[in-house]
Amino acid sequence: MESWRKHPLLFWLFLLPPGFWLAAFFLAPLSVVFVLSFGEKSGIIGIEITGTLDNYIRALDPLYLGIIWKSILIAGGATLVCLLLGYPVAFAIAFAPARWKALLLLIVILPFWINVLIRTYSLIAVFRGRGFVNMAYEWLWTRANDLLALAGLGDQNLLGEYFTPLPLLYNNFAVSAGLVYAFLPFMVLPLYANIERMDRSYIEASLDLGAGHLRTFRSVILPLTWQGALSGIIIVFIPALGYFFIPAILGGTDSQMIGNVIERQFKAANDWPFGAALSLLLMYATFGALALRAVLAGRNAEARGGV
Amino acid sequence: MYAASEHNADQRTILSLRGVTKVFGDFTAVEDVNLDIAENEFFALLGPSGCGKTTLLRMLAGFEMPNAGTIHLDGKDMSLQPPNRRPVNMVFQSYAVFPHMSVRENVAYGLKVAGVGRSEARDRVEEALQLVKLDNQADKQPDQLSGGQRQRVALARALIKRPRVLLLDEPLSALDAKLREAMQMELVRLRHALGITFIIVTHDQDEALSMADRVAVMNDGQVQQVAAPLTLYEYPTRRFVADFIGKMNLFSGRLESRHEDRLDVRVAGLGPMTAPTQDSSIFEGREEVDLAVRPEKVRVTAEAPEGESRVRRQGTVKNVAYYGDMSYVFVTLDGAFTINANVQNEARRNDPALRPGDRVWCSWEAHDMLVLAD
Repeated sequence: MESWRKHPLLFWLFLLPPGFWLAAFFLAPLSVVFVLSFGEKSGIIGIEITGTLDNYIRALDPLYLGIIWKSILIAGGATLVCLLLGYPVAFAIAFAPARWKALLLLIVILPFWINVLIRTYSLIAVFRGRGFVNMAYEWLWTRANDLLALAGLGDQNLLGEYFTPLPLLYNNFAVSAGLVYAFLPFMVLPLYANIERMDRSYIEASLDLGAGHLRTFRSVILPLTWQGALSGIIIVFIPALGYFFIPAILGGTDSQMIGNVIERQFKAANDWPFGAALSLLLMYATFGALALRAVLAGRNAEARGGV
Repeated sequence: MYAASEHNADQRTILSLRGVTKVFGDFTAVEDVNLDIAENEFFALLGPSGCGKTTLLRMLAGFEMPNAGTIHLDGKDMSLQPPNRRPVNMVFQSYAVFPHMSVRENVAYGLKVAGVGRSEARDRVEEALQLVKLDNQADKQPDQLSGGQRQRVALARALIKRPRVLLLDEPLSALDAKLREAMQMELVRLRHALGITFIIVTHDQDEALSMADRVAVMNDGQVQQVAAPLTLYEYPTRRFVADFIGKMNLFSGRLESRHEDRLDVRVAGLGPMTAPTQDSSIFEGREEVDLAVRPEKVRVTAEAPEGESRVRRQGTVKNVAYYGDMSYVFVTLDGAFTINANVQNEARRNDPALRPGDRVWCSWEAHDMLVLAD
């Protein structure tokens, strides 16, 4: 393993392409953003780096803090729904007969073959007033009305005089549903990997000792697959927090998230320094979440007497 | 019919299997198993890997449901009961000690699930830990324990439920030789101390013979023979059992004539032989039968042996394998048949008693011969 020490030239040769990639396309732009966040607008395209902290102070305005808080709520809610949906799905795949597993996993990752933007637009066709959900709902409504008429209750208007479509689009519900739809696979896959790896005899031992299935899930399966859930939460919550096009496409006037605000600074508002400051604050929040996870995982390992 | 066993009549049957069969796809893992296991018995299921012994144990635990047949425990039909409803507990081959719980929490798990009161649970956990000599490790986490200690946790965790039957799946296979021997004695001690029926699955015949009251030898999903260790070793009834347990010289021969208590058989290269049998009617209509004799029953001598009752053949020593306390001697009898004999190295000596090429006599008592069905 240590043989690269004997061939330093070879080592650097191999390090060069990825090193260059990271430096040119990650570190350099990030540094630009960092520097910009301490700048001031001067004219339409000019930016002066003055070392001011005004952008950060402005970002702490209750208006923006409110949007950040709302983003956390929506992204957190979507993550929770992903977790609740992801566990049974991951479980079903892990316990499916071996010949079904590959197919089921394929179904989970199949949506990746279509661009997420297109998938998000297609959700409009599902959620809009005359979309698929409301069409199905209307059909049920009409049938129910017919049934009532048959029962001699036709003129009572028990279900309302007219069919009213459910307000599914251009609101917080649509944004949350869009985020769940886009991120569910990222929850299922780490959960599946963890459940699959877990020794089945733990489950059998629990059943053997008299526990029912619910008790076994709570006391054995959940604690042993929690690491997978934690990974899923991180890789769903962090990008969901900063997503801008799902709220832009599916959201209404009051469902903009912090991602939309940042995007607007770089485009419509033409205030790059402020956008940079907001971006960095979001990144620091993400670091905070990751640090929290590391601390939690560390405490877990400590409790188990590990390293 | 060979599954029918000598079964102590004074002991009550606790577990009774009738026609138990398990099929996976087109593979029959367990086929028509009939067994009666007595209360307080130490019973072993012995066989090569893939013989169906583990599947049978898993059906007793409730992890697999039989496709046909019934399992009665204390007279009640348990065949389709889920594992958490059976008064039976299992020690897993991998131990399956919960890694996120301390030793004490692991042992207490079954009581907690059953809703046993706090103070009673504490006493019983303490008692169970003392039983397996882990009372000073109670607050450790499983990954701080050795393999042998983890196994004791699994044992205590199962025993604390006071099961009617304790199932052990290859419990000693992951332990090193010294620990295995100690654990064997420990298991026998525990069984006597607790008065619980033990059923152990093993592929190790020494383990089965040294610990169990009775052993069921399995092959290809079927029970070949059920007997006490001594009977199994000295009186195997079928070729598979004779070959699987210990070492054996096997001769195939043609059945010449059948008497009430013996068979006359002509073995190619060895000539006519007579072997005792308890029930010669089994061999009715058979042309070929297998004869067998254990290597330690064969005596190797330089001079022709005395005694009317001894079967004797002359031959040449082919090979001697020296094991310290004893030697395996392979002798090619005149007629080209090679026989294996165990010779105890009773006296201390400076050079081997037998060398390849020596002319010797091999002999054994006629009543040590075995006749085997199929």
